[in-house]
Amino acid sequence: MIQKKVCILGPTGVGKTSLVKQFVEGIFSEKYKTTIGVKIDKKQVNKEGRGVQLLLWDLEGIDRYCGFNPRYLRGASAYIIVVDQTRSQSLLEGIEILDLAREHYPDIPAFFVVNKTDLPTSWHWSEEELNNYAQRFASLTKTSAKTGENVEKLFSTIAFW
Amino acid sequence: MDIHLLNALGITNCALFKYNPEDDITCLTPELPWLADVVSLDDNNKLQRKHIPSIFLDDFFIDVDEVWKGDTSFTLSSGFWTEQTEDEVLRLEALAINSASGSRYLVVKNVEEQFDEKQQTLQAARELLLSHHEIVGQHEYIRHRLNSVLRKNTRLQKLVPPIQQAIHNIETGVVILDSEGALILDNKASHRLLLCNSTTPSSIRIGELIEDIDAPSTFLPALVQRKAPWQGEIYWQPVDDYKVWLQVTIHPVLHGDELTHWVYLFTDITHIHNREESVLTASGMDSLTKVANRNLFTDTVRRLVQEDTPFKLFIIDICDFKKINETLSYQSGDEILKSFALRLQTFIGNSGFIARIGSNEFALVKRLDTFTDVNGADYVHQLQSKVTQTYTVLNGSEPNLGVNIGEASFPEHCSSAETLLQCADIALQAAKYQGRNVALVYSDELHKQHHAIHELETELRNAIKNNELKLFLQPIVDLSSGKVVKCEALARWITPEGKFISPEIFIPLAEKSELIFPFGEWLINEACDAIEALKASNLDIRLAINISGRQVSDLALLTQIKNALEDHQLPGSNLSIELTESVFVESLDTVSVLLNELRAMGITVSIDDFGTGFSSLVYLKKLPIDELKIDRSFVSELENNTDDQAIVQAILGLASNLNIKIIAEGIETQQQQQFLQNHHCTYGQGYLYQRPVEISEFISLAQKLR
Repeated sequence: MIQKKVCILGPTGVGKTSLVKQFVEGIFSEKYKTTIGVKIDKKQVNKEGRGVQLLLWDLEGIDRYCGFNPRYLRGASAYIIVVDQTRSQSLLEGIEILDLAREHYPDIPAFFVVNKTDLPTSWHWSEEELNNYAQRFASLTKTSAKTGENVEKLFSTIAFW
Repeated sequence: MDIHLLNALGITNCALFKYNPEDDITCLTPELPWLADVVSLDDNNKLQRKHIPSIFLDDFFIDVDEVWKGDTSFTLSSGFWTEQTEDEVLRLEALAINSASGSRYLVVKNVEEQFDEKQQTLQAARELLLSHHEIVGQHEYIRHRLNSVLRKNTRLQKLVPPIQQAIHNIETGVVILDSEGALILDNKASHRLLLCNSTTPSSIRIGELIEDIDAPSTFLPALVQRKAPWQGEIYWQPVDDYKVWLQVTIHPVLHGDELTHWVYLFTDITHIHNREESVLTASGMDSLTKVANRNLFTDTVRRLVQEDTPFKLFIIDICDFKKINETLSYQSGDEILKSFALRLQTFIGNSGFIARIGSNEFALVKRLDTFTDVNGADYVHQLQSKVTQTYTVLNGSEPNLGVNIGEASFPEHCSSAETLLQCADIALQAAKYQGRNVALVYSDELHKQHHAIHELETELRNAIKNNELKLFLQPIVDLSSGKVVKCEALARWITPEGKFISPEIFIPLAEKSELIFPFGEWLINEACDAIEALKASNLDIRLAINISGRQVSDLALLTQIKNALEDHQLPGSNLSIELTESVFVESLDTVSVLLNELRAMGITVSIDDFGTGFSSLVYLKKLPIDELKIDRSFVSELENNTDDQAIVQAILGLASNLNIKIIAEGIETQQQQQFLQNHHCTYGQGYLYQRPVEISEFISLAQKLR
């Protein structure tokens, strides 16, 4: 079976681990627990009789305490950059992370995820601004790790990209 | 100690693998219970490369192979990772080691304790970070809502009640002013945060706040012009018993190009700052710049030394930072330090480790094998140019920093972390001694120089303390009358052993160390004693003392001069100060303030060594200068050198037009004196009249000349 390595990147506290947990185990916890280092999960995705095993590399949030380590992206088929629609700052940081990743791996497709759609949008970015940023990515998906909205769809899209 | 024993005792919990040239990898610690979840071993404890259960470790083997292939001693960490099995969670870290002895190892450590500790620290730090982001997000939200409401072309009376209702009970302080700064409305939270009362409404407090943060008058108009808000954190202490960290948003509301309102938002973030500081300090971070602190840096250097990894260590010192704090404000100084750390971090990326190890000192370590395209000298040059580019701070100033760098290498220069830091520091001190923007690599020669300078500094410190320095005076005469009109005070140092140490050695030494300050204080007091002695002999003439650039930047200088004159009950008109032109290069504004204060006290000002250094003449017009002293180098060959004659004539002409008097230094011959007299030079000084002598000798000579 085909295996695909997918890295989940993004600023702190945007819900990267929650997305993986929702996708792999179907559960969600309200409690925020920061990720340290890397944790890898596996899940098979099937579509029209074909199966792809995703190796999901959940990486520690990139912030002032943890820099971007390009080594983790080696051999990846795709990477996801997750931002949080309740925090304006997370979008700016997400774009900075995209620039860093592109610098080292310009050819790996990047997927843009705006998470926490179960909460009211409280950032000031307009849809137009968001779509402008989204143009730099392979796709834009709005997800909720809490309700599971678009989570399966996201990983399925990446698996069969 | 044997690894098995260490594991058995619970001191370590790690698996050790040895790479053999026959291309197999033997596990030396096969008994560990968790090992099977990570690697597969055959019956001979050989690692099965094609079947590694851990995906992470399997991937890390690409790096392991690279490290093992290399010729240099090197250790690479995988970073922490989590391995989830059916019945347990493992927290692990792998190290690929290429040791100096040529052996190759892989270590897989169970790091549960360090992991928990790190998670606990970062959990707290990141929760604070998220809280702060939440506050910034709230400000953004309120700002956008208010902006859209206030921009509606509606009458104010209709606007106020709904906004008042919306902001009344929120935790964010909101103040809305009209374009002239008059209060339209505010809320309870703003009253509390800004300490408002019936006599001091929020509009007044906002004015005070803007003033307290040292924002220039162009700050608010610039926001209007840019049509952009300002957001930032401000530390504010309007009264002794109230100090607060505020998250502040200042938003100009515009209707087209016309300013209609100002929106100010405030949130108290003191608790975030305080907790962040304690969390960061505990985790080895500097709370201001968010880079590592000295402790964490020393630990990192120790670890690199233990791992026997060759590396370079740089200590970077920002020149004259005290002056930046004093002239621009401490808040601006903090802003610069934060930007400086960020620039340093951006410059090194992942290829090194930086820390703030002193108030204005940063350190950087970088492994030798990461210097790829450029040699060390180019690297330092690039580093210097990156961190010295102009900075912009809140008050609108754009200071240019200078940095000195000291460099030392492991294992070339020393074999322990502590001595390596000392070596880099010795190189730094030597660089500082040479001037600004100097970078030096540690060497034995520097070490010897450092010791010699250090010894001389100690002797000079004691000489100042024990009053072993002596004041000599040299007359300055009126060239038309030959009378002594003034004198210059010069310090002389004869050690208790009778050794004469030239002022050309000890004055620069004092200037380059902190000794210039006690020396300056000694000189001012001695000068006042000398003036008293002259007065007692009916010699009512001015006495000139030399002031260095570093003293000029020190705010204490003026107080010292005032106090000394008061203690001796002397008028300022008895004193004159001499400055060199170099003082004006970096601190024209500071000097201007100082000279005007001195002038107000009746003290005159001379420019020493005129014509030899900084040749911008702008300061002659801007500053209250009474005299120029033509440097001796132009006078010494005045009889025969037509270039020198032309220069001296030009200076005399310039001074005459600006109504400034001229003192020619270093007059030794009658011909020199004659030339100067012929061209209307006012005063002269030199061996032709008298070499510097002790005060008693000076008095008898001056009396004769009178």
